[in-house]
Amino acid sequence: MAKVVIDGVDVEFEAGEKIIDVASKVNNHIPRYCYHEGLSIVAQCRMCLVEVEGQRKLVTACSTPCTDGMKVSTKSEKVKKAVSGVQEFLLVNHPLDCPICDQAGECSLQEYSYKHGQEDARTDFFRRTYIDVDMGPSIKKNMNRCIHCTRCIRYCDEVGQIHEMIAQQRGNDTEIVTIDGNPLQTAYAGGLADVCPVGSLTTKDFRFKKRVWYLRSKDTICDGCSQGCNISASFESNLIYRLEPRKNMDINKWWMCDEGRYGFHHVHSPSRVLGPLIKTSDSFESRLWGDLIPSVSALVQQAKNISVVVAADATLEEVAILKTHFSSANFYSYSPSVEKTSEDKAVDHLIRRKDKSPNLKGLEESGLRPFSELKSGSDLLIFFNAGKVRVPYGLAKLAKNAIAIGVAMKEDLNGWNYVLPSLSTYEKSGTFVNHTGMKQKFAAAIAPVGLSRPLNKILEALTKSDRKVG
Amino acid sequence: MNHEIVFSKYYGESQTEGLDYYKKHDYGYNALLKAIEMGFEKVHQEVKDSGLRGRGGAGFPCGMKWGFIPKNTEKPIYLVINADESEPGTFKDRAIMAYQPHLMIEGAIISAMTIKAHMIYVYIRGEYVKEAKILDAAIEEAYKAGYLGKNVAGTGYQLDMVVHRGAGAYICGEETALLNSLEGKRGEPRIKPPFFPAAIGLFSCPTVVNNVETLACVPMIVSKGAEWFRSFGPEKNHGMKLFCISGHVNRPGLYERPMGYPLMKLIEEDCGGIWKGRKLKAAFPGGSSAPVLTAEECNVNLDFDSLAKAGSMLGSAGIMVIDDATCILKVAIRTAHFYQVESCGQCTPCREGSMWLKELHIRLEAGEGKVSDLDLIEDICNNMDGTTICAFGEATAWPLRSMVKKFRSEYEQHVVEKRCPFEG
Repeated sequence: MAKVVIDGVDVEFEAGEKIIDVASKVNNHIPRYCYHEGLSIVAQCRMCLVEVEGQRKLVTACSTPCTDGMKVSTKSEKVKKAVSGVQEFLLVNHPLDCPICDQAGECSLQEYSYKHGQEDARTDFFRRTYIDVDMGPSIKKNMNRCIHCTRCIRYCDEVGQIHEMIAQQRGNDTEIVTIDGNPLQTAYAGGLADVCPVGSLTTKDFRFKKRVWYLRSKDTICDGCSQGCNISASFESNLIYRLEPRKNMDINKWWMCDEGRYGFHHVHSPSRVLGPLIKTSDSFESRLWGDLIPSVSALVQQAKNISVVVAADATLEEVAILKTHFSSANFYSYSPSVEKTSEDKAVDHLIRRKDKSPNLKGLEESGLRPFSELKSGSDLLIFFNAGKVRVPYGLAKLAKNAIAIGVAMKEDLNGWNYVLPSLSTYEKSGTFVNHTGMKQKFAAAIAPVGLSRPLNKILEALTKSDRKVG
Repeated sequence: MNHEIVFSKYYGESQTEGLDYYKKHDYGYNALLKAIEMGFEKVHQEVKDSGLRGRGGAGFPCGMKWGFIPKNTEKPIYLVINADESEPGTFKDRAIMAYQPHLMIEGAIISAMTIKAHMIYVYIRGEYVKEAKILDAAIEEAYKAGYLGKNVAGTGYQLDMVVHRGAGAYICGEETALLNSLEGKRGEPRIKPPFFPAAIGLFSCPTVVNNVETLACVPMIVSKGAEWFRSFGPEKNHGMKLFCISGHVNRPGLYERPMGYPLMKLIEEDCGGIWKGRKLKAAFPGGSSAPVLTAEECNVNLDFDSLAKAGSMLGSAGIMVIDDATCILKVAIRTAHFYQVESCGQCTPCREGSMWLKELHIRLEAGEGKVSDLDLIEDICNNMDGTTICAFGEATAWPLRSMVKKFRSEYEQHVVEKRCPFEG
């Protein structure tokens, strides 16, 4: 295999691979702003300049393909000088408002300033200023911080596939805008905040909510549709603040849609039922788990025939537990948008699917029958969900008694005898099967919220003598 | 020095732009007929042998450029004429297009048939309104006379030619920015690799981009031979050349001289010396992008290699002469301002550096600068030099760096006296 020598280290490469990617194979991170693996190459930030033996001028590592025997230096004096020069140029007009910028802490400009920048500023002129601009429901733009890398423009063109962002004016007056100032149309607008290397484009959802250095993040799977995008959830004090995509070339590449990105708010919604409820004559009353379990247990034992409706945001493990516990019951799967996986289809060119539940395929494979086959009149109906699929209106009326286990909203309680709070996707671990049949295991990001308990603990308590929910 | 007027025989006269006039006084498309007779491989060889170097600024050998077009390509090949003459102090292409458009068209037809192009685009500077009209009329005449169209001069070769007017951006004179602009995109230079025009040019097809004056040399090479062309100028710098002189001379204008003509002779004898009895202070030999020459350094010959040796460049041969009553910082401000507003804004060093340089120069000229600003200017120029996609970064850095280096005492005087010493 062909080899290239980068800072004295031999690295193998495949034809066409660029220096910047080959260097990262040996953990040699070449600084970059405009370069993004998932976008086309423009080589205009000039941050990734490297020296290639035999070439008079420095070349950009992002646009220069490796050739066999090529000798590259990423740390020569000439490179250091040029890169620190570029870094300085970028700061000539940058406001340095890090204390009030959401990007601070995960900002390429900060990071490379420490690594490649100069200690003092040599410029003392007024900086160009703009007012903040609203770019639709998802994104707010702060043009002052912009470094003109044009990742956002290429993101809209190539990922969103709507040509809606452009550079206008020229030179030092260049402004990155949406065409005619229109709000963004793309269903992937939130991704602009991910690709923006500075704090120029931020999501309104996360803006001013949390300094990022307080956040920790855990890998998980998006439960917004049957695609199963790989994401990470950032949280602090058991509160989720944002979701971000994780690279998975087989599923979502580097991206995720806005629906998924902002689809975690049910977890901390003030409407979410966070303690066990029992129906009284005119409303619902809170009970402690131990007080409630005997009556629930009695209701289950009295029931001759039981129907269990499992929402398609349940994990494979939970389905197995339910099937073991209610071995004589009839099981039905429920997804709000499709009846069967055969009705599922892509709704755009990129990620989004028609089936707005993450595990319908898994439920079908576990032998659950479609929801349409559910008949009314059973003694007991048990509904289980994780909150992404909401408790269906009127479902409880199909049986004499009804118990909802899972994540319920206060406005969805009508008709249920008991509501037993369980976990949302972010509070539990498990396995989803996406529309292609790919099984994806994930771990809990945060601890259970409120008095919510895992399904297995609730079901165990129903059979235990001490009535305690572990 | 061998000398023959080949371009400017009738510049300044009226109604020279028609086909009849061209037939009567110039090559009259006989060079095209001769080229067809010779065969285009031989034409290519003749242009190579002539040593014709591109007149746009870089001085790249024209024959070699044509040779980069891939053989047996299935894609269409384009010839694009760079008539976006925007380099400050340059007005040679304008004269060719205004007085002898058919010379350029004939050269373009011969060149297009040599590289097997069936489409010629003329990208003309937006401000050249009159010249664009003249070109349009001349092209129509050429169509009517059968030198363009479905059957060029009876050979059955199809060739079309279209004039496209620019929208007023200097950067569109850079050949890849020009191609972007021609495609309807933002006029921003492309990265090389992969976008070498000969391989991936206009509409991603093989493309040759030639300057107007370069193509105007082609009919005379075909008609009089490579040997004749090589008889002008020193080794590797051949041909007659149009020099544009502006600034503080008694007779500014367009002068046709052989390559390698001494600059001082041009200023002193041809242009009648420096105006108002003043002395020469400095000169830009190749437009504002060329490093400045001091009066002593002006003892240099005007050709690509001699000027490169003297630390400057021939560029577009737009010679700007500056007298000793002129504040060099004012010249620098004007230069920096030009590059600031014309930068496309793609590359960081050029976008930010050009604005920073302008601010520093304005401050220095007003007497509010610091001595450390002089080193800062040099360092900014160093950081812009060689770090950008196209040569614009260098075009900004070179003249400004050369001025602060060569006229440092004058810069310092502004700082020490806290005022411009040239103002009463």
